Amino acid sequence: MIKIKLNNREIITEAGKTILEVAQENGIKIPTLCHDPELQPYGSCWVCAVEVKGARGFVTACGTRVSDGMEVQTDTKEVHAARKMALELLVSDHYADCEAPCSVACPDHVDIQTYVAHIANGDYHEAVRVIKEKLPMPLSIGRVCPAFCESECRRKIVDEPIAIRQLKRHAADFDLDDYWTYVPEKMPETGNKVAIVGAGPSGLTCGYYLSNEGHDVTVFEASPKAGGWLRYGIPEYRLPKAILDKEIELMCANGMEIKYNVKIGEEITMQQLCTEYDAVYLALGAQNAVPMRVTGADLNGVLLGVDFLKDFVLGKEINVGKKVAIIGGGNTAVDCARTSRRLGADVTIVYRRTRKEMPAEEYEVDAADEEGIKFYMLTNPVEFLGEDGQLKKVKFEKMELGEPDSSGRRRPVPTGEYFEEEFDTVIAAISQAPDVDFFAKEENYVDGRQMPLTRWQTAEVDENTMYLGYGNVFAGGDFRRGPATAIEAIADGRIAFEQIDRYLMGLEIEADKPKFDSKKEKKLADVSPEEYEQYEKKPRAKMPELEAEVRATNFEEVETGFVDEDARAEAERCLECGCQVNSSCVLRQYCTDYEVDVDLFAGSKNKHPIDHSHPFILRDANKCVNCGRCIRTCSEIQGAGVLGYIFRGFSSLVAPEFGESLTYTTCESCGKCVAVCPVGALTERQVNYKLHPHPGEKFIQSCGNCGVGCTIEVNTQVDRVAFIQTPEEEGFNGRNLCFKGRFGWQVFEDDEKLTEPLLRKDGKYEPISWIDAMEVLRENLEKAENRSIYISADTTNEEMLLMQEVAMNIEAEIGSMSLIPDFTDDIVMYHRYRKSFTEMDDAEAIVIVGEVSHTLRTLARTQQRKGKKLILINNSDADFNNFADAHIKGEDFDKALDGLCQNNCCCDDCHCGGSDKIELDLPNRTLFFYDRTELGEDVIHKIWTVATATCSFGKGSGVIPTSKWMNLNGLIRLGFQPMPAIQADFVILYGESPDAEQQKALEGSGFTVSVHTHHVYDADLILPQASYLETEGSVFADDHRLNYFYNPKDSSLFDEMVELFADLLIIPEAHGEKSYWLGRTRYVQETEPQIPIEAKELHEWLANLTDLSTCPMQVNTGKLSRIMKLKKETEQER
Amino acid sequence: MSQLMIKVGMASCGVAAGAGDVWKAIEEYMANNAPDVTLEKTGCIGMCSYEPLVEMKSAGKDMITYGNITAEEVITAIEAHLNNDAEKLESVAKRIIPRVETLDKQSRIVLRNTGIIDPTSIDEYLANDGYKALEKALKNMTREQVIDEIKASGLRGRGGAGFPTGLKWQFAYQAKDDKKYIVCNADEGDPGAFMDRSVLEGDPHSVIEGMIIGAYAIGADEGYIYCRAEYPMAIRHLLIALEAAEKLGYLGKNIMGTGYNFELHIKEGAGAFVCGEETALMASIEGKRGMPRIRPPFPAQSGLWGHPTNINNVETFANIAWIINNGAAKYASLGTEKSKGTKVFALAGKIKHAGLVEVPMGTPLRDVIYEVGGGMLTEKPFKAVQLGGPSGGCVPKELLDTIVDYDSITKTGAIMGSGGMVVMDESTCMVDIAKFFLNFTQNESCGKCTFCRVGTKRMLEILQRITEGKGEMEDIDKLYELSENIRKTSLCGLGQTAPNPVLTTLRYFKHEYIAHIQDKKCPAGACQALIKFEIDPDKCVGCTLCARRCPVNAITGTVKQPHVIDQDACIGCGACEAACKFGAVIKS
Repeated sequence: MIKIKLNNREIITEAGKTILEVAQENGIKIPTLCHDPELQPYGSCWVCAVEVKGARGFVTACGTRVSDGMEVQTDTKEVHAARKMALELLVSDHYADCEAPCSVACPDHVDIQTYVAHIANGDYHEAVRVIKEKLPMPLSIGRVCPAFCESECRRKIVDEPIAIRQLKRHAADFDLDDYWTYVPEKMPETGNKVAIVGAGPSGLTCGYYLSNEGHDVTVFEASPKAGGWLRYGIPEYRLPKAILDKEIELMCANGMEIKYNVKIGEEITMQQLCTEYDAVYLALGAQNAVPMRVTGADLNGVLLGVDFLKDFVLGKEINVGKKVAIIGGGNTAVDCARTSRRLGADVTIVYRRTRKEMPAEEYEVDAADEEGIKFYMLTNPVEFLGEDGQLKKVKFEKMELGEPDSSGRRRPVPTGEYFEEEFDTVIAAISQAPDVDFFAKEENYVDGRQMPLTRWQTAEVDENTMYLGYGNVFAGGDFRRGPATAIEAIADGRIAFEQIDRYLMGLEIEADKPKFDSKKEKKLADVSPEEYEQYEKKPRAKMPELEAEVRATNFEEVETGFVDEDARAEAERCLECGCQVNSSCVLRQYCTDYEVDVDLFAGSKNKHPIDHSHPFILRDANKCVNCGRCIRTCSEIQGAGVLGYIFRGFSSLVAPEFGESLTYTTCESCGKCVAVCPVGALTERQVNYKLHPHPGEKFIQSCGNCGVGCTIEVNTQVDRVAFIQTPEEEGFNGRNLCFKGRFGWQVFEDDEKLTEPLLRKDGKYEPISWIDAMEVLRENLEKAENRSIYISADTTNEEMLLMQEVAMNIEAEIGSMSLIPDFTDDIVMYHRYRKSFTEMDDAEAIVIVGEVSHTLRTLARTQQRKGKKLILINNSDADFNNFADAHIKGEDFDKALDGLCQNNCCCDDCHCGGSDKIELDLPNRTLFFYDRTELGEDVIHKIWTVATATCSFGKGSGVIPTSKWMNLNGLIRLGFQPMPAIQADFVILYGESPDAEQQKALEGSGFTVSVHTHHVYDADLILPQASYLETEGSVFADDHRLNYFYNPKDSSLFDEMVELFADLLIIPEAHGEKSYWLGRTRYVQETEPQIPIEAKELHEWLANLTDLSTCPMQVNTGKLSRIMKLKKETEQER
Repeated sequence: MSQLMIKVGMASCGVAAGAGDVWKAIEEYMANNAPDVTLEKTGCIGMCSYEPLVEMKSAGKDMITYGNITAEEVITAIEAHLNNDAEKLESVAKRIIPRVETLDKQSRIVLRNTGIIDPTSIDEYLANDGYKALEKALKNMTREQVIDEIKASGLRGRGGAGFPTGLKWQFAYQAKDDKKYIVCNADEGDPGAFMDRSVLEGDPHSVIEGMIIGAYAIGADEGYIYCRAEYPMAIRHLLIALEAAEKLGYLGKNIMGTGYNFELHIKEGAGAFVCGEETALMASIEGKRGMPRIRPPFPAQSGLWGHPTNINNVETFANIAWIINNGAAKYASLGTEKSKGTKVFALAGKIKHAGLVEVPMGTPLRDVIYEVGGGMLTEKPFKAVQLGGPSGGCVPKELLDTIVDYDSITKTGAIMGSGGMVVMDESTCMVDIAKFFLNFTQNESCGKCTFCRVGTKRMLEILQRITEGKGEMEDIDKLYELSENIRKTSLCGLGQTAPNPVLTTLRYFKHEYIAHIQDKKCPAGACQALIKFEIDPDKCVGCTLCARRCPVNAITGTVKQPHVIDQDACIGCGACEAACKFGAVIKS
C-alpha cells in the first residue's frame, strides 16, 4: 500500500493503479475518450490531463500509475482549461452534426429525423407520437408550415430537400383516419389551475401539454371558435376547417377546456385571471391589421387583409366586385388574393419589390400564379381615388430597387412614374399588431404594474422562458413576436408550458443549459458538396394537387395528400444527418460539461464521405477523435486487426487497411469496434429499415443464437429491434458479442421471417388465420392413426414442455431428429455435471478445440492478457490464431489431440498413437472448450480423455462443451431422445429443419406441420415460430445458466401457439396461457436434483468409458447458413 | 609514397555538387596517362559550400584543398602539381581555399576520421586506432568500468535532450533480463541537419565500435541501427563496414576471442520524422506504425519487444571509442562544467562557410558563426540563428555571445538539439520562419495526441493568417495559449517542443508579429501577401516590359504611357520589379 495526495486529500491505495482508477474509486470524475478498461493505457486524447507535482507539464490520468508520495491535482483552473482546450481542438475538426440540421432550423426543434425514419418504416402512429412531443398540431402544421426545416435540409445538396411538411401531414392524416389515434397518457391531476388567453396555436399548445401533465387548463377565446389565425387567417383550401376542428378536439382529449366569446379586458380582467388561476399564459395573437397610410384609405372598397379573411370565415357577406387589387407580398396577401380569386374576381397582387423579395412562400406564390392571379411588381399605391365614398381607381407609382436595407432586402425607391387603374376593391395586407389597449386599465394590471409592451405593441417577456419576470404571467406567440408563423407560436407555447410547469412545481423559472451541438457548417450553403457525391439522385415526391382550373373556383383543399408508397419512398430519401448516438456520445457530454466554444479554434476540417459499404457497420470518419480504441481492440483482443492509422499530422485518420472499405478486410463483423467507439464514428447499420437517434426501449435478456447465451441489450423502436448491444451492467460476456449476436439477428427481422400460418394449397402457400389453421389441424388430427412430433434444441423450455404435453395428449411419439447423441449426454443428464463460463477466471490455461463462439474465444483472449495460457487446436487460418501461446495444426484435430493424449496420458499402453509428440505442459487448472455440433464423437472423446489426464475437474478445470443450438441442455435435461425421421400420418416438426435425407424419410407422411421461424421445410401447414426476440421463455445455456427471453418485440406468436393447442382441446384450457408454461419451467428446474457430481466420480465414470466409434461430423446447418446467406446477400447488394 | 596524393570528398554533399564528375575525370586521366598518383575518396570534408572538394598533396609539400572545382579544372590542377607548372597552378589558384580558416577553431573528435579516411576501407579505420577501444574494453575492462568511464567523461546524449550517456547505460545495465538491445538512432530528420549522415557516410566504423562497446557495457547481444532510408550512401557504407567488421571478428560470435557475442542489424526507416523519438523508433523496428507511447516504462526497463533497450544517437556513439582510447579525463577537459566534449554543428543558411563543424562545448555562438563559419554570406546583417531544428528556436543577435552548452542554449528558449544551425539575415521574416518549422512538425506529427495533431494545425493556420495580413491581436494570445498546452500535453518530444519556434520568435521578434497584424506589413519584406508593388508614374517610361513579364497580367497601360498595377490581381511575385530598368516599380 502506498500513500498519495489526491486534490490535497491523503489517500491510501495500491501501487500500480492509474491515477484515473484511483480517482474513480474516490468519487472524482475525470473525463477520458481514449481509455478503455480492457486495453493498456494509451494517452492520446489528453482529455484526462491532470497535474502531478514535479512532472513536466500535465500527465495523462489514464496512463500514469500512482507512486508513493505522489501529489495529484485533478481540478485546478489550468487542468480545466487544458481539458477544455483539448475538447475545443477535437470539435474544431469534428465535421459532423449532433442534431439534424432540419431539427435545429425548426423554431420548435421537432425531432424531424426520427419521425421521418418512422414514416420510412411505415410507423405512422409512432411518427405522430414523436412529433407531438414538441408539436401537438401536425394536422394543421403539416398543411400550413413554411417549413424552415426544408431550407436547411442537407438532401438539397444531392437534389431536393425532403418534403418534411407533407410527410408530417401524411403521418398525421393516417393517425387520424386509423381505428386508433394517438393521445398521450394523462398524468395524475395536480390541482393546479392555469388560464390561457387565446386559443390560437400558441395558447392551445401550452394548454395541451399542461393538461397532459395533469394541470387544470382553461382557455379563454374571444372568437366563437378556436384555432386563432389558423382558422381566421388561413383559407379553407389550405387548411380545411374540419381538419382543424378534429385537431383541436384531439388536443382537448386530456381535459383542456375552451371558453368561447370571452374577451380579456371586457368579459374578464387580468386581475381576475391572476388571482383565480395559479398561472396565466397570454397568447393574444396579433390580429389588428395595420392600415395603409394612403389618401383614400377610408373609402368603401378599401379593406384590410386580416379583417377580410376573418369576415369571410365568419360567413359575413363580402362583395369584392370584379377587379381586386391586393397590396403586399406576404402570406396574408397571397391568401387574400387566392380567396378573392375563388370569389370569382380578377385579382392582381401589387408589391413594391420584386417577386424574389416576396416574403410569402414560393410555392404559395406559384400556386397563385397558376390560378391566374396577376402580379404588379415594383409597384406601390400612392392614392385611392373614389366617387361618392366608393373606391374607383388606384394611382400607382413605379418603383426600382436601391441599396439593401436592414433586412438585407434591396430597398424600393420611387421613380416618379405613375399610372392609374380601375379597381372595385383594394385589400391591404401590410402588417398586423396585437390589440393591447385594455392593458392600460388598472383592472388589467399584473401585481399592480401595467403590462410592459414594446413599441410594436408586443409583450416584453424573457424570450427563453416567456416569463414576464414578476407575478404569475407568461406571454408568447404573435403577442410576443408580432405577426409570425404558427410553428413559432407553437414553439413559444411549448416553452411557456415547460416553464409554467416548473413554476407550478415550485422550481425556478430558467431555461435548460443548452447541449453542445456540433455542426458540419453553420449554413447549408457552406457544406461542401463533395462528400455527398456518393448519394444517388432521387427526385422529391411531388404533392398531388387539384388542377389549377378546378381549384380556382372552389375552396376544396388544394393539396390532396401522398399515397402511402410515395410517402415512405420520400422519407427513405432522408440522409439521417443527426448523429445516431447523440444522446450517448461521450464527447458531446464533455463538451457540454466544459462549456466548449466550438468557434474558438475554428479552422480547416478533415472531410470524408460517410462509408456505407459495410452491411452492418457505419463508418463516419468525420466524427473520429483518433482515440484508437477500435484499432487496439480489433488488433489486440479480437485478432482481426483490420483497422489502423493512415497518413500523418492533421490528416491522420483511423481507417481499414489502405483506406479501403471494411468489407475488403478480414473483418468478422463482431462489432466490438462499435461498442468501444466513444463517439459516433462507428455505429450499427441496419439493412431492414431506417434507424434514428431517438432513444427507444431496452430489454436485457439472453441471446438466442447459440448455446453460449450471452447477455444482450435489445434496443427496440416500435416493437422492432433497432440494434443489439451489451448492457451497461454487463453479463459474463462483458462487451463482447459475436457477429450473430450483434448483427446476425437481423434474419429474424427480415421479410422471410414468418409471422402468420401458411397453408399449402395446390403446391402454393397461402397465409391463413390461426383459427383456420386450428380447423385444418383438427381435421387432420382426427384422420391420423399414428402421430409423431419432432423438436429441435432451437426451442425454449416452454415450447419443449408444451410439445411434451401435446404429444402425451394426442398419443404421439416425441423426440428430436436433429439431436445427435454423444456420450457426454449422460454426464449432463445423470451426473449433474455443471461447469460455468465464469470459471475461466479460475483457470490457468484455456484450450479451444475447433471453432467455438467468437465471444468465448474473445473471453479466453482477455484471460490470456491477464497472464493465462491460450492453446488453440484448429486448422483455420484465422488471424486470431496468432494470439495463441500454442496453435496446434494437424491434418485433422485427431492428430493434434493424439499428440496431446500422448503427452498427457499417464497410462503406459496409451491407446492413441500420435506420431509427433507435442510439448504442452498443461496445468491442472485447464479448461477445454469445443463445439459438439462441430466435432465428431471420437474427437470429443479424445478431448475428454486428455482432460481426464490433465484436470482435477475442480474450479477452473475441466471441459465445457458448447453448441450452436440455443437450448441443447434444455432438450437433454427435459429428457428428449433422438428419434429418426420416419413417415407418419401426422407429423409436427417443431424448430426442426430436416436435411435432404430426413426429408426423404418423411416423404409419404399424411399431414406435416412445420413450426419454424422460417420456411425451411415444405410442410402442409407452416406455423410461425417465435424467435428469441419474440417470445417470453427460457433456455439452458451451454454452461447450464437458466437464461430468459423477455419478448422485446412484444409479439403474440407464442400466445397464439399456446391458444391454438388449447382451442384444439389437446391441452387443458388452463394451460392455454403462456404464464402457465413459464411457471412450469421454474417447477422443473426447482425439482431437478441439485447435487453436483464430484470430481472423483467423474474421473471414474470417464475412465470406464470405452472407445467410441467414429461419428460423422455434424454441423447445425439451419440457422447458421441462413445468417451467412444474409451476410452474403447484403454484401452483394452493395 | 606517390608523387601526388589526391582525395576527393565523396559524401552525399560532394556527389550532389558534382564530385562524381570530378572523380570520373581523374580516373579517366589516370587511365590514359598512368601518372604516379594515389587517388582516394573520403567522406564529408566539412566545407559543404565549397563542394566538390579535392585535396592534393605533392610529396614533401603541404596539402592544398580545392573547392568548387570542375572536372576540367581538376585535371589542370593535377597536371600543375605533377609538373610543378606555375602557369597552370596560377590558373586554378582561385579554387584554393584557405582551409585553416575553418579548421583552426575546431577540435575534432566525432569527425576525427570523417573527410580524412576512406570510409569503405576498414584498414584505414584500423590504421587510425580503429577498434582499439573495443579491444581495450572487452579485454581489460569490466562492464561497470566501461560505464564508469563514460560517466566520468561527462558525455551527454547528442540527440538533443542531453541526458548523461553513462547514466543511461547504467539503467539498461541494471535492468534484469536475459535479452537486451542496443539501438543507434540514425533517423536524423531536422531540416538543415546532416551531422549524422556525414559521420555514417564518412566514418561508419566509429559508430559501430561505439555501439559494440555500449552493448558490452549494458549486456546486450543484439543491436539495431535505425537509419532513414533517405540516406542510401550511409546505409551502403554501414553495410560494407558491418561486413568487414564481422569478417575481422569485431562483430558476431566470440568477438576478438573474448566470448562476447553481438549481432548488429540495420533497419531502414520509412521517412517519418517522429521515428526519431525513441518509443516511436522502437515501434517502427517492431514493424508497427511509428507512434510514441506513454513513458514510463522507459526503454531501459521495457524497450524493443519488451526487453531493456538502450538508445543513443550517431554522434554519441561516435564519441565512445575516442573516450575509451584517450580517457575520460581528456574528454572532460574539453567543454564547460556541465557540457563536456565537443559538439558537431551543421551550418546552413546565410553563412559563408556552410558545412559541418565540430567545436568544443563552451564556444560562443558568435565564434561559431563569424570565425568558424566565416560570417555572413552577403552584406545583409545578421538577424538570428535557428538552433535545434523544428524543436528549437531562434536566437537573436543580442544573444550571440551565448556559449554552446546545453543549459545556456536552453535559457535562450532554443535547444541544443542535434546540431542544426541555420543562420538568417535581415531578409528573413521571423513569422515566416516560425511558420516554416511549425509546418514541418505539423506534417510530421504522428496524429496521436490531440494537441499535437490539431493544436499545431490551428497554430499554423493562425501564422498563415498573420503572414497574409489577416491576423488579429487576439491571435497572439491564442498562439501563447496553444503553445503552452501543446508543450504540456504531448506524449513525445515532437509535440512538446513543436511550439518552440513560435515561442522564441514571439519572445525576440514580437514586434514583427505586431507589424504583420496591425500595420499589415512584413518588415523583412518576405511575406508575399503583404508586399505591394506600385509603379511610380514619374519614372515609368511606358516600355511595357513589366506588363509582358507579369505572370497574371495585372499590369496595364499603353506604350510610352505610365503603367498601372491592378492590386487585386497582383500576386506580389516581384517579376515587374526585377524587370524594370528604370526603378519605377516600388516595393512597399
